[in-house]
Parts: sequence; C-alpha cells; structure tokens
Amino acid sequence: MRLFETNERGSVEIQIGEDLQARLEELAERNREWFRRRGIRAFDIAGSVGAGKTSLIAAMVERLSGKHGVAVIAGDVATTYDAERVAGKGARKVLQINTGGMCHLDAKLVYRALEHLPESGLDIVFVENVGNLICPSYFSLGVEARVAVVSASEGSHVIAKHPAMFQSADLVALNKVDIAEAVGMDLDQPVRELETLRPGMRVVKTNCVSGEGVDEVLQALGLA
Amino acid sequence: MHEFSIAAEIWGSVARAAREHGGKRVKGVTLEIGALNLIEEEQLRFWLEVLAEKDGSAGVEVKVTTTEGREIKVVSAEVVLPDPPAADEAGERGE
Repeated sequence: MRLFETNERGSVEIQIGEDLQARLEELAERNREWFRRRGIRAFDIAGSVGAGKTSLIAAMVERLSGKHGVAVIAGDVATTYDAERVAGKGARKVLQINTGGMCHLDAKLVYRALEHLPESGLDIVFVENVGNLICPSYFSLGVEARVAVVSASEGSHVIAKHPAMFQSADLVALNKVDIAEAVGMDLDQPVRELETLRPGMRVVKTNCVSGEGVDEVLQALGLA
Repeated sequence: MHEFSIAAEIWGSVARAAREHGGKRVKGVTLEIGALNLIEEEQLRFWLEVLAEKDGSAGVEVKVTTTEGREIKVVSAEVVLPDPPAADEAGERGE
C-alpha cells in the first residue's frame, strides 16, 4: 500500500530523479559492448545533407571490402537511396534505417539495426547518420569514432557555426575540395577554426568522387 | 529539432512513473536541463505539451531549471491519483 498526501491541487508529487543523459549513455554502452563482443570496429559518419557522407562510405567500403567484412547502416528520414548507392561496393550487408522524421540516429535505433547484421564475418561497421550538422552531435551511438564530413559548398565558417558537432567528432573530412575555388571557399579557414575549437584534431581534405584523401581518412581511423 | 526526441524520452519517463503510482493524469513535470545540451526550452515545452495531451494529460505544467552541466534530469511529476473508494464502499469490502 502507498500513502500519498494530496495537495490543494488534488494531486501528489512523485519524485523520479532520472537523468536521461545517463540512460542514453547506457544505451550507447550496450552498442559498444555488442561491437566489442564481436571484435567489430564501428564508426559514425555524420554531416549535413549533401556533404558527401555516402560517397565517403562508398569509397571506404570499396577499398576495404577485399580484406574486411564491412557492413553499412545508413540512416535517413525516408527512402533507401543511400543504401542503394553503397550496395555493390562490396559490403557484406547494407541496411537502411528510416527515422520517419527524426533528425538524428540514436543508440536505440542503431541497436535495432544491429540485430539484422550477420552474426559472423564482420569486422567493420559504418553508420551513416541522418544529414544534419546539429542534432546528431548530442546522441552517442556507441561507436569507436565519429567522422564529421563537411563540404566546400557549406561556407568557410561551417565549423565555427556548428561547434557541438566538432566537439563530438574525432576526425573531420573536408570534402569536395575540387569545387572550393568555384564556390569561393578558403579551405584554410575551416582548418583554422577547428584548430581553435579542437586543437590538434585532424582534418583530411577529400574529394570522394575522385578518391583523393580517402586513404588518408582510412589511415586516420586506423583502418589502412 | 532534437527537442522532440528529448521530449519523448522525458514523457516516457514521466508516464512510466505515473503508471507505477496508479496515477490517472499528469498535472506537472519538473526538469533540470544542463545548458550544454543546447536545448531550446520553448520547443521542449511545446513537444511535452503535445505528448501530454495525446496521453490524456492536457494542460501539463512544465517547470524547467537550467543547470550548468549536460544532465537532462526528470526531477518529479505532479500526478492526479484516482479517487479513493468512499468510506462505506471500503467498509463493505472489509477494508
């Protein structure tokens, strides 16, 4: 039996005291443990719509699939275009998560996808986050590292304008360097801004269409 | 935009606690939100009100205290409990 004293509003105050950040971190840890038990190295590839996340993943899968069992989990609000673009590059499994409106992936959504991966034969998983340079910053997926992909067309101050993403990232791929001049981007500016925000953090300049810089990204992630 | 998913997690926690206590409606929610989460308070309130309304708790009062850290703490919920059985009813059942 529980006894509560009703207040003048005809209600009772229930103490909850639950920290949701701590719960979200527990869910991320569950994913970390899932990967650890299977000897899988997992990476979150985040960035704006059109930054080149899918192109980077496709290029990395192409280079790794001969020696590694790679799986890709692609997150989008809708459609399976990204999964289709990566399929055929040699991944053992490509899964698409449709968030149905949610602006980021979270550890729960990724865990649900993990259950659909093959039980054996994988050692690398790339998770492509929803195209968004803001919201994914706050949700840990329980992976080894996050790569933030930004492109030359996003403006010279893209890093300074989105500090949370670059605080949460471990590596930056500065993509579409081939069009920088055409769109008037000073490629050194984001590098300087990152140095102020995260001193010593690595930036790799890439052109994921030609393949420039992709080996360097793999090297930086310890995958080459 | 991530305020919606945070609101959904918060409401899940509140609704669970209310259910466990046999509550029939939630009147208020008290939260502590760390500034480092960069959560837009008005959006969070809006989504909590929408979720509460869908769950039969329209008009829920949301109190937010901003703290310095990263926590998103559901401190307490004000819940309306079902009316206790009338004295003669309880007597008939031997309570």
